[in-house]
Amino acid sequence: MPEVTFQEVYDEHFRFVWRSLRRLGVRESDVADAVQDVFLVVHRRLADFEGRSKMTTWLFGISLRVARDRRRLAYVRHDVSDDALLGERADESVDVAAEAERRQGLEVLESILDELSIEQRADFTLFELDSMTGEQIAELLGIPVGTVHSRLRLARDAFRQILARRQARDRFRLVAAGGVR
Amino acid sequence: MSDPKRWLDDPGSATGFERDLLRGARDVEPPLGAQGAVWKALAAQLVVGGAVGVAGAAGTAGTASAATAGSSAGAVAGAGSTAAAVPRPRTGSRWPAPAARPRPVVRRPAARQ
Repeated sequence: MPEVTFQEVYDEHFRFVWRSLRRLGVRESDVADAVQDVFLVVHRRLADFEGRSKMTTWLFGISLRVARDRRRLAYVRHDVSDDALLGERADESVDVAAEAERRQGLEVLESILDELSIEQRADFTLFELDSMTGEQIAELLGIPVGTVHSRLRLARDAFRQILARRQARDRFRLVAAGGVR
Repeated sequence: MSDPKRWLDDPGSATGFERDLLRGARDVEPPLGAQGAVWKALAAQLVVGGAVGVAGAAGTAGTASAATAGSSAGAVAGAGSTAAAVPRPRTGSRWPAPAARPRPVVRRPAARQ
């Protein structure tokens, strides 16, 4: 029977784990450490993996727990977003103003996604950003397609509410700032 | 059950601002060299923790106790979660790479459709 080694799992799924953690809200500055955390668990548990689910489902589950723990720690430490959001890196050749605008957009998006539950965030980003189908997400997360759709609906509603709240707050600040001039 | 339309694909389902926010966040690829760097840090940690029997591991352990680090690594795996207390080299740190890669082996699961 063919065998799979830890190294093979790492080589084949490193990119998947990295991307998953980023989608689940792990900051760019933390993601390398988070990937280590995931593969430490993989190293310990690989012998117990029986193949009842797909390897990616198993890895995503571990990534989800690692991301959740990091989210909790960040909340306790009151971490603020770093400047490298969603894996975007500054390119020195691009227009500075455009880059600043792009980063601002990413910061807004990240702050909205941070307010979603991690399950909703997973659904939302896999569907809207990674263009996965409902069925693919269901298989990856090990949940029914109906659950994927209902989570997505809730995530979209929450996304819009949070965005509307932010925009209202920004408008208020603008008006307030204008009022004291 | 059919999927709803994606916000990025359907101008009618999301505002321009919502789509702009999403459009800027599609790429989350790891940077060049990240895979190797994380592997080195990971392998060094596994060697330090005594999780793998790697020849020459003693020279890579630095000041960490293999027994202590090993139990910490076990706690990480047992909880299925992160543990802030685990001594770890950060990616790209000065910790040296181990002499060999860790190689626990398991059966490959049957192919799934």
